[in-house]
Amino acid sequence: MVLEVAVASGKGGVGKSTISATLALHLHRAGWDVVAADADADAPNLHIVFGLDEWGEVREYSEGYVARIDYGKCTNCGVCADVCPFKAVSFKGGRYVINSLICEGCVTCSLACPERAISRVRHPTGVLRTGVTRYGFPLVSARLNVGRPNSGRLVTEVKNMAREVAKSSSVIVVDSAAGIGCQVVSSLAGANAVVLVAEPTPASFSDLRRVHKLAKHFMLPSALVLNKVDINPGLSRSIREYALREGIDILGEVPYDDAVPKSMSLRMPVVEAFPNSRASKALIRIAEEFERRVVRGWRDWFRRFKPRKPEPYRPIIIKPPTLR
Amino acid sequence: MREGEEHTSPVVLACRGRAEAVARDLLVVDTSAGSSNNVSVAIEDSDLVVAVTEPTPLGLHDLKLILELTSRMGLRTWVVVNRVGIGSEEGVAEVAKSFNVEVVARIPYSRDIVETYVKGVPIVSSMPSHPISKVFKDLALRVTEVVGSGS
Repeated sequence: MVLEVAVASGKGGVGKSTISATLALHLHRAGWDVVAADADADAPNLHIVFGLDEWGEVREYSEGYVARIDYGKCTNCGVCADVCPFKAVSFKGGRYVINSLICEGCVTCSLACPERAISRVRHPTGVLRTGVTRYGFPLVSARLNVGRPNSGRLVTEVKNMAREVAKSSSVIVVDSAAGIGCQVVSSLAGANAVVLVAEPTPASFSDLRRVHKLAKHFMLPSALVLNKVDINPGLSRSIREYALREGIDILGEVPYDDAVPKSMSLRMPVVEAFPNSRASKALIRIAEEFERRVVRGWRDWFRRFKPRKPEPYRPIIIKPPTLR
Repeated sequence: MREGEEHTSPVVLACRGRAEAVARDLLVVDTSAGSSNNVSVAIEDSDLVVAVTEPTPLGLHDLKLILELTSRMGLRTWVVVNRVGIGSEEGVAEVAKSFNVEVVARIPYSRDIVETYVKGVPIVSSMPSHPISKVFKDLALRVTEVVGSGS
């Protein structure tokens, strides 16, 4: 089977890309067929970690719309600015202007405009690209244009491209974006397992629980990597207890180490740049554990760490005030 | 935002609206990472944008994107370099120059800052005489110059 693993953390800067890069590189060298997928289209960075300069294929990607005002019909009534839920319309230079760096293309303005002066036009969203890292395995990535909405669909496209490249026994390592929004939901949807990354800070612990809720919603078994573990031993203990209570498999812990940020400036995974650093040794051990428990031992591991019941999602419908 | 909700910018906008209702002299908005439209919503109409970067290819990549966004939105922007010392700063200076923005502060890489962050007490309060605290205080002073003495 193709094993698709999403690496997620909620909070940014806790080590998702470092863990993703280590897992991909280690599994590749251990003989597995690996595809790396960068699902952070907003700030893609896995290609930099792997020092990839030349993309093999670059595809323009377009979804959604932005509003456009036909000034021949516009009477400057300002209804569009009043109704815009995103405050993307402003009055500048004697006329109403739509800020395409904010507009979501929801067409509320177009529906409200009494002159029918607003239409919607396609807007380039970003690019999808694939390449082969210097270590020999493929990387699929995307880049969102500035000011475009975070796109779960773009992440789904990235994952679809990764699945096209993947062979029947591949491991796909998906490096998710920070947060728990659309992009992250799409990173988890359709994955087989989640590797959660946390650091012992209150912000990271809070986000860990939030992203784990999503993982449970998708009934995904979760593993945990506790990064920078020595910066706050007390909170590290609380996070470990949380993992035990929640049935999350603790893969291992990584100490705080200057080698990690330094490796970034060298455009190399830390396990390549400083293989003898404390962080690298811990990371390699984690990757070995991941290979042994999750990849080789998939059936048992899945049975053991699959959530007991799905986390329900109950939508709350908030009606616009005018319809109440 | 609730877990499972996908759409961030309406929440950002509502949060900002509430903050604006209570703000008096200075409103500091901490945006999300990246340069998507939930960042545009957060920074729109700001008097000043402080773009934080680090001297690594990763920082540089994202700095270019955020400066592209702020320049297209016509917002006054400063650059602050964090984790100074972990890599070459040449690229940062080049990019800042190409967008005609000033690098206003450089925060040295230090484990002290991580530790104060873990304790939940900002370095300026817990270690006021630390050299990094001075960098922050100077930066704050420059910000007050932009804001003025309050209207």
